[in-house]
Amino acid sequence: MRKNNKKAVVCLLFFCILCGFWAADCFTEDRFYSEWEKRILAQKPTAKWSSVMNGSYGSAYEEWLLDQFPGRDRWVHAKTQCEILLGKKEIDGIYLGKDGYLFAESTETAHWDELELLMKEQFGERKVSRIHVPNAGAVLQEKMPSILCFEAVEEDRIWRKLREHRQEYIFFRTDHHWTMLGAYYAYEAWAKEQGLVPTPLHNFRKQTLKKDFLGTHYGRLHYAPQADRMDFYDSGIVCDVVYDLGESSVRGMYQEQYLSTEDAYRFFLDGNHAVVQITTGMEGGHLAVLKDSFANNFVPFLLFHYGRITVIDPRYFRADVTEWLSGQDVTQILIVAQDDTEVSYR
Amino acid sequence: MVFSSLLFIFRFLPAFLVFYTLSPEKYQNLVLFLGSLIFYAWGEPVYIGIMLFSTFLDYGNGRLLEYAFCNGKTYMARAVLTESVLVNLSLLGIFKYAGIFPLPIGISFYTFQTMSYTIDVYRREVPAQKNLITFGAYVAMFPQLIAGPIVRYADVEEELNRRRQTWEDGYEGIGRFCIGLGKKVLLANQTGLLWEQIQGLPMEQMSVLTAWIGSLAYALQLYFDFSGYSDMAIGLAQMLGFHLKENFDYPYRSGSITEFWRRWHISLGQWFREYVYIPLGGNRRGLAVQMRNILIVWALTGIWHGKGWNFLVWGLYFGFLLLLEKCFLLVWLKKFPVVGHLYTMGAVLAGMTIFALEDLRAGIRWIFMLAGGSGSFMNGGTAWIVSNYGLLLLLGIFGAVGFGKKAVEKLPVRIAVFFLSIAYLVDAAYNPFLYFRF
Repeated sequence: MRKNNKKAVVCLLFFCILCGFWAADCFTEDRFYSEWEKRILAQKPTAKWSSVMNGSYGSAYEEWLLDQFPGRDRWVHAKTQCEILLGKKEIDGIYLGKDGYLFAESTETAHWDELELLMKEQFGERKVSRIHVPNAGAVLQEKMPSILCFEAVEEDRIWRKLREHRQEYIFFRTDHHWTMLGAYYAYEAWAKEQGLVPTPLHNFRKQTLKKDFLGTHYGRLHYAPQADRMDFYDSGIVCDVVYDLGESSVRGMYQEQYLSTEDAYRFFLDGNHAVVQITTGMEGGHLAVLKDSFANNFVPFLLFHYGRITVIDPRYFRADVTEWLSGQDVTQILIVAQDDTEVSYR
Repeated sequence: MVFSSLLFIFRFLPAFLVFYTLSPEKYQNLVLFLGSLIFYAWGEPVYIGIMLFSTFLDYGNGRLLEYAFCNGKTYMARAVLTESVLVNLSLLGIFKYAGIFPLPIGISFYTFQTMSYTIDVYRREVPAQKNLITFGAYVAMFPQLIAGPIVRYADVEEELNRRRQTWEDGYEGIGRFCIGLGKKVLLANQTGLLWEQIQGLPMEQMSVLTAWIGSLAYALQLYFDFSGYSDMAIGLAQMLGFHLKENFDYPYRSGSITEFWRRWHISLGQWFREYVYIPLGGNRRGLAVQMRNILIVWALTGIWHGKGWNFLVWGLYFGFLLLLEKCFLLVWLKKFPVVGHLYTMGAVLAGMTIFALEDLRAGIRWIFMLAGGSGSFMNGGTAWIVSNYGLLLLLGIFGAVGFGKKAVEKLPVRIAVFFLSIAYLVDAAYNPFLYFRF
């Protein structure tokens, strides 16, 4: 009898667990956007006769259930922990490196080579320069899981410069971006090539913005062996900044309100905007930066050298970039972006 | 709907259990029937018509057979039987092999079930079911509806008419379901990812060992996918008061192919044995006829799995191995059990590859690689796969041969498996059911 009681209890408990999650789902409000996953989550579909009959309601409902499942982030964390216990070094495309470093393959965010050619045709070879942002794993090769490596372009001067400083904190552990220090070294190498005198690092006021920064790699796994420190090198220059040709109400280069959120990297230039027009009040020409998100913490170093800087993200720019830039009396063009990088075996 | 989804586990199952358990016994078949229709219709409402057609048809056939027997009209009984087999096979032919429509889920399973019912009634092994709802509940019963096991009517007839839900069965059923879920989500999906990864490697990155690991990963995926599904089916049925027969019995423990097929997808093997092999004369009409029968059964078994040529080749491949074993190999294998196990695993892994790769040439290329045709024995990629997936593969092998079976029977382990499975489901990008294709 007692044994049977125990079995009844287990049955009822199991049933309560099933119902419990259902109830929890009903009582928690749906989220619209996931900061971690950087995507809009599925919302509850409404049933229509036609959508039910062709099965699209059924699959939309399942997606909604998956995206809004109670405690989603914690479940993902548990999964990652289990994978680590199983000795996995690659989880959902994230490679677990040494010293708490996480790496991932990178994919080109736009057709940068084509864009470079176009710019050179339009504005002339000498006005256009390019920074290939290397993948963190290609620079910090020693931190990669032992069998793996990322292909590095060894003749590239930016890669070589970063590689010289590989002992320093130039890439985030939990994010795919470089730190502002990493961006500085790239700036230094680039400026010398352009015949500019790079501003020494000590001319910037160093400030630690956040000691517990968790980036995009963390967002994928909901796990990180070690959080990141986010440093900021302040030039002290106060600029006039206009976002999206005045269509956006955002003001200022730096957005402190994001430091306490999951998207702290948005501190720099308010994340990704189609166009950001910066007037520095300094002497110098007009630089156009065509870029992906790697330029966001890179641009602050350019302020000393140009009177105007126009930052364009071609992914969000609806009009024809070349045509639009032709009317902006630009003196120089810089492309800052990451290329495709795939993992290979040693 | 599939079992390994949040939708099934946290919506359908609790709702169904409440309705089913609280309804009086005489309405339970109705609840089961209606619930199963919702379960089936969720993703593809259109195809429910085919299943209902098959249900009505063979319900009618059963009644007609009974009428024919009562009135002594044997020719009529024979006509009804022929009609049932023809219509069911035509359904399969049109929807599975003609390639005009997308495959209706579970059609290979429920047509075989309804056919077996009519044949059993014809053979007077069971009386015809008079209640349409009860018969509908048998065909549509959601635990086994879409991927088996193939339940013979005779095996559940008694429980269809009268069954009890007990705490004991509920407890066992829940445990069984959790284990099946874990097999599917934690082992099959993960080894499946590895197989896809290896299969997608460019030729110059392959090595002999990588190819073998790939085949092993696929063999584990297929086993855990299908046996996990059967476990969930048996567990769910037990929660409702049904006791289904086992469908797998640690096939990778086998010392010969003959033994392997007695332990793998048992319900399908028995179906072909009962309704094809024995009616053709089985082994009672001399060795030549027996050999012919074996080849027919295995060609059919192959074709049953799909319309690709690879499935026919795969069936015949095992047919020939079985013939060899019948003729002389089996005696010899029994003398050297170690050789027997190695031979069985090798033959099964190679066979699984033909099964996995629908392009027959790709399958042959793969076997060529297994045989050492790809150059290096191992490379950096192999080392990475071993370091990344080694433990998972080891766990898979242990699970597949039943090592650590005792531990998995403990309740806390089963609960942990359940919650871990949920974690993997919440973060799932990869969750196919292999046996849906069939």
